[in-house]
Amino acid sequence: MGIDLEGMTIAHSGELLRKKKISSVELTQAYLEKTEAQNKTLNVYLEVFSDALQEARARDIDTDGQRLSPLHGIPLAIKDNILIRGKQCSAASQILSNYTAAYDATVIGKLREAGAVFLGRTNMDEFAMGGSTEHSRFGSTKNPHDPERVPGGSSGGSAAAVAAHLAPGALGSDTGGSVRQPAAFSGVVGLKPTYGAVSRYGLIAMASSFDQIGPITKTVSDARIIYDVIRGSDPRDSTSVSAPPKKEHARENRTLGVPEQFLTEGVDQDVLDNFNTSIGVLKNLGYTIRPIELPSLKYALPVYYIVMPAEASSNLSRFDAVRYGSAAPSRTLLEHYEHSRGRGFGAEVRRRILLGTYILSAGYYDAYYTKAEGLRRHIRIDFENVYKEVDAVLMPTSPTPAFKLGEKSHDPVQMYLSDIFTVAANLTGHPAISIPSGTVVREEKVLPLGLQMMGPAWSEEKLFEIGERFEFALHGERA
Amino acid sequence: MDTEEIRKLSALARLAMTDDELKSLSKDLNSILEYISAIKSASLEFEGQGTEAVRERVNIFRDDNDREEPGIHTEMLLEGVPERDRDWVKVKKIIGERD
Repeated sequence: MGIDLEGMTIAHSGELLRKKKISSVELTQAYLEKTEAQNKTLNVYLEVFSDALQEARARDIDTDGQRLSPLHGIPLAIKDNILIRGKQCSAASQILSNYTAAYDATVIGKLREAGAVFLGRTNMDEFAMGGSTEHSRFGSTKNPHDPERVPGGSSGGSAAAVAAHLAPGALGSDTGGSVRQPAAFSGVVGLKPTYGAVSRYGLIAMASSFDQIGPITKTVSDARIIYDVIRGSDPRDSTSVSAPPKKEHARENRTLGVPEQFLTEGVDQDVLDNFNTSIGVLKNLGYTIRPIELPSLKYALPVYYIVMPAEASSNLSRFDAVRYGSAAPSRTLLEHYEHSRGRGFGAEVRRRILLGTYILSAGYYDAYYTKAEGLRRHIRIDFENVYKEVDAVLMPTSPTPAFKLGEKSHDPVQMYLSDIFTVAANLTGHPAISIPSGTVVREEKVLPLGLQMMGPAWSEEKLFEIGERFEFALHGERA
Repeated sequence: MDTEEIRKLSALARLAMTDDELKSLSKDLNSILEYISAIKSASLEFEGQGTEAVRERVNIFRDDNDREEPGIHTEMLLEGVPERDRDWVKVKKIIGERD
């Protein structure tokens, strides 16, 4: 039975499964076969799980589950920093190359209960540090639209999996744009939920006040399906919160804001043209577009590259190769730490740890960290004020389409600049979604672009609504 | 940041570095520092907001209930230990000559 994976969405597969037109085994088998054919070239999966079919079989037998969840029997790809009990989990790092997860992440438990099947763990930038997946210790992932280009990062494997139809949906993690930017580069949807909406228990921590797990899917509707399953407060993550009860909208979602002054420099002309086209589409749908001012936004990226490395350097201090992980040969305890970590961490990870260590050290702490946290608070307040006037803020997801492999990996600051539009949502904790908004042709290759919509805390439903209407206007009804 | 400072930081962060790595890191880190120093131009109205930000945060604790049976995870956790001796995690000598 030839299943058309290119036309397959989670919503459509779910319907076919429930009507018994296909089985989870057939669906899972189809993805496994396509992966077998393409993974060597694309390097999307670090590991394809050998028990995926067995799990799919169990779902097919479990007929009660089919009535309960839209994810029952649906295969998903999981980023290599989300723990699945009994499976290897390495955050694409050498230091965890021999680590087997001792427990399920909360999101994994929820997906299991909903009947999802895990296809494999996807490639990423090491410890989620990067915007291209080139910093993986296990090779780069190729962008399915052009194998000479990056799929984005750090959730590049997950985005490429969905874009190459090697999974109908995937989980990624987003600390500064790591779900949204690869989604934009790969032509798929990526959501970063409100901070606290999704439990971080079992997500290998990068920067704890920024990290959120988010879905990467083909459609906005599919993103909503996964989001609804994975969200919820968790006693094991004290930063997780249940969504507050829905308020009746004082005003319909009609007004969208554009921070015009922020889009003038360093943005590819094709990206700006596409962004303006997207604005036109939204206007035709009846939205009012207003220019807004976010004067503190220019500090967002420097603030991010102060607070995030500080938190990450602290989080990564647990990797000492004593209780788990890959230990280097050594004579003394100090040598053990220094060699295991020196060898176990790649260059970008070491750069960020050192930066964070510097920022947190006496004499610099106030000038950098404290000041950055103050600016961060100010950026959040600026956004909250703007949301009194508009329902959502629009920006391109990334200042450029997918760049070439090797193009930015030698200049850290150049790589960091690709986060310029995405970090604000992590600084504020507000939700943001990237939706495919069209394409640009570069050297005869058709490259996707993404539109980013940000909203106030807990406005995911609003973002889904605007997103679905935009999606429909661009593509018509998707299966 | 000079290479000496980076050497000290890498000692603090327990990261072994070769001299070549130190040199290339120095270049990268200084370039990044230059970029993030943009916050220095942020005006005085932002002063004090850092401590405000910290003050706004609230710690959430949960009750120490729902304990699991002791020992149920021991074997699985010990399986991942690089150096193990029965139910113990083996480490290098901690008390000894100063490095």
